[in-house]
Amino acid sequence: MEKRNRQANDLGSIIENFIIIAIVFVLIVTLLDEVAIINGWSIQSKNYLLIAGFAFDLIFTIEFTTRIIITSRAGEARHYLIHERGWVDFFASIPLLLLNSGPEMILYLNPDLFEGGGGSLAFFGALKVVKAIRVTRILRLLRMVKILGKIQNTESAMANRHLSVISTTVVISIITTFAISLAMGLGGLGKLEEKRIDSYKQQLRSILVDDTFGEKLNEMTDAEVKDFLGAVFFQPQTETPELMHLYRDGKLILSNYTIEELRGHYFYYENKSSIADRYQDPHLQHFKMGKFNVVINLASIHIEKSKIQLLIFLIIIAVILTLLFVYSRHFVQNVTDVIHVMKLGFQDDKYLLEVKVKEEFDDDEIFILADEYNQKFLPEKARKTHETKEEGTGGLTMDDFLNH
Amino acid sequence: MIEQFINRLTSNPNFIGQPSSTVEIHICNFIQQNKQNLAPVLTQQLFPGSALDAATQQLTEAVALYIGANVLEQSRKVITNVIDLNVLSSSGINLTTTNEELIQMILVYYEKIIKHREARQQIDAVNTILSEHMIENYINAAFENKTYLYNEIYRIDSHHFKADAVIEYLKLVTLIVPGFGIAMPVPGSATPLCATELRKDKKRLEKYFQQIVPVLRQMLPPINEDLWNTAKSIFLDHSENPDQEPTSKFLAILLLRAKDFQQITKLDKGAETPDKSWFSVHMRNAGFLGLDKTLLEDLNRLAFEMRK
Repeated sequence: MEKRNRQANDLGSIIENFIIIAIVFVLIVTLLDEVAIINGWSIQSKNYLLIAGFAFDLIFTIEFTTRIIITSRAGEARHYLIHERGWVDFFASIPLLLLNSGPEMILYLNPDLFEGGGGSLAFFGALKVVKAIRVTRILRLLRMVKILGKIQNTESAMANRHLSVISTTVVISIITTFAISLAMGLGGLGKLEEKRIDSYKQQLRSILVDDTFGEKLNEMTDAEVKDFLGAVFFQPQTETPELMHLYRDGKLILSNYTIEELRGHYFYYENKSSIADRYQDPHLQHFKMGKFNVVINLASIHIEKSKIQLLIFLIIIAVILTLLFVYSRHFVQNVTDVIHVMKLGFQDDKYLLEVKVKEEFDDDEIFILADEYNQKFLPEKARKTHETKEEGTGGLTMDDFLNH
Repeated sequence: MIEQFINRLTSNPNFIGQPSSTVEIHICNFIQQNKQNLAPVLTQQLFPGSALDAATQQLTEAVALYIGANVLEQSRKVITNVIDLNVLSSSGINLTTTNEELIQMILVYYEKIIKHREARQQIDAVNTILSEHMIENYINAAFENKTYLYNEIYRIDSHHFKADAVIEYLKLVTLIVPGFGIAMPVPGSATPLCATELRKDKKRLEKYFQQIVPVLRQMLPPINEDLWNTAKSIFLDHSENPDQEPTSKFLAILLLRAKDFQQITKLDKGAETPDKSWFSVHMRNAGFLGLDKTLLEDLNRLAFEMRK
């Protein structure tokens, strides 16, 4: 029985260590997701990150499901969800798998889904909206806080819980503020994509379909249209030109990108002439205007968004590490250690060490209490110990005598 | 078999870091308090055929013998080379013996008195004081910082010894102190009493000294009057007599500190050091224990500075 318990404990500790490693990796992957966008990494690299992100979300979903099943069997699911922050485990697993990495993985494995028409396109649009929830992966850091907290203050459940509550509150506040800002368009990035698309539409409408140019363009050959619009839309000086392709009646007339650039940085299938092949790339936006199909590249906006997302990530990591290594130390030294010493003094007859009272905080209630403990309780206890020394048995029991 | 049994009892995890004499007290107390329940072990297994009281007595004596042997063994390790009489002679205290002879004499003295329970405790405390270098640490710190202890010893003792001479003097007094753990018949007491038990009774303590000192002098002829007087003064109530010899007041505190000494492998975070805690706690019990409160305050400061 004991052997079985030990094996179960060993297995539990192996799984816990595996989860710690997974948390570290998923945070790295999440950071790299943003770095990949900012630095324009190759599509192959992005695919690796996509697969890794999916794998981790799957692992955490399995972990959460297992935990909830096990705790449910023991009738402790509610305790796990509320008091052991199972809700954090939930938000950092199932929604990510279902709304972010799962659909991305499906599209990666089945690019043809994009050519299925309106339904698929609408689905993809929804997918792009929920991409922001990737930030909730940072919640996994809170698990790390719990685990690292244990390493720092092995004996203090109070310090661990206190640190967890503070970290969770801070992280949730930052994430919520970020999410609300995005939703309300604060900071200018939330609605920037829509604004940019509207501006393009307006500009193109004035050229492509209004009375002045619209009729002329209809009469021009493709080569003439290319020369005419090229003068307006060709953007060789820009690193990532926003107008990517211009099609007339499904035929490519104008492109600001070479084949190599397309192959290297965007989803691009040479065997597909249809504009649908562009939908898979999250940076690209497509719209139709009269006879013209327009594909614009919003990578520059996404880069700005990723920079902000990365900044939020780094802020959260910095805050958590500060809480973990600076604040927790302060809390342990000025609260937990003080209580721990007093607890030993109350519990152990032989323990007569004083609490170290810090002069700079001697007005704190806890140090006032500690001072009372030092000045009144301990001398009284020491006196009693001296008086009863000749009666003490030092914790010996009958078993010590009988089992020889 | 008995020795194995006692060895197992003394190795109890509850006794880790405790002084041997405290372990002895606890074991003997337990035996006395639970002798009825222990009857099958005592009269059938350990001392077959003995009556319960006789078996209890035999086991208690065996424990005392075992602890005494351990304490003596420890003394042999600790006190060899602990004394340097040359330092004392250069300060004007001449003992008619050599270091080696004196140490041998003290070991024989310990062997003779070890059977007395309080003497055993005192020898154990002396071992702790010397092995932990308590005298050196506090005297050096006091002389370096010119604290109350320094002022008391240097000015009031009027010997104007340097720190190393004071240390040697105090070590020598410490070594002879355990003899006062021998219980002697004193007027008004049905049972013999030792010096520790008479701390609060100056008159009877004087009577006790009148009986014990000649006996001890016979065992340690080279020890002079000054040393015996300092040793005797240790057992006075210093809370009532603050003008007593500062060396005696200091040693009285150290002897009590050593009796409570516990080996601590790792200090709890947030706790004061053991010596600092002990002095601070006992400052408030100075009157009860018959110790000099001002000296305890001074030692408390020194312990804080030395992180002891």
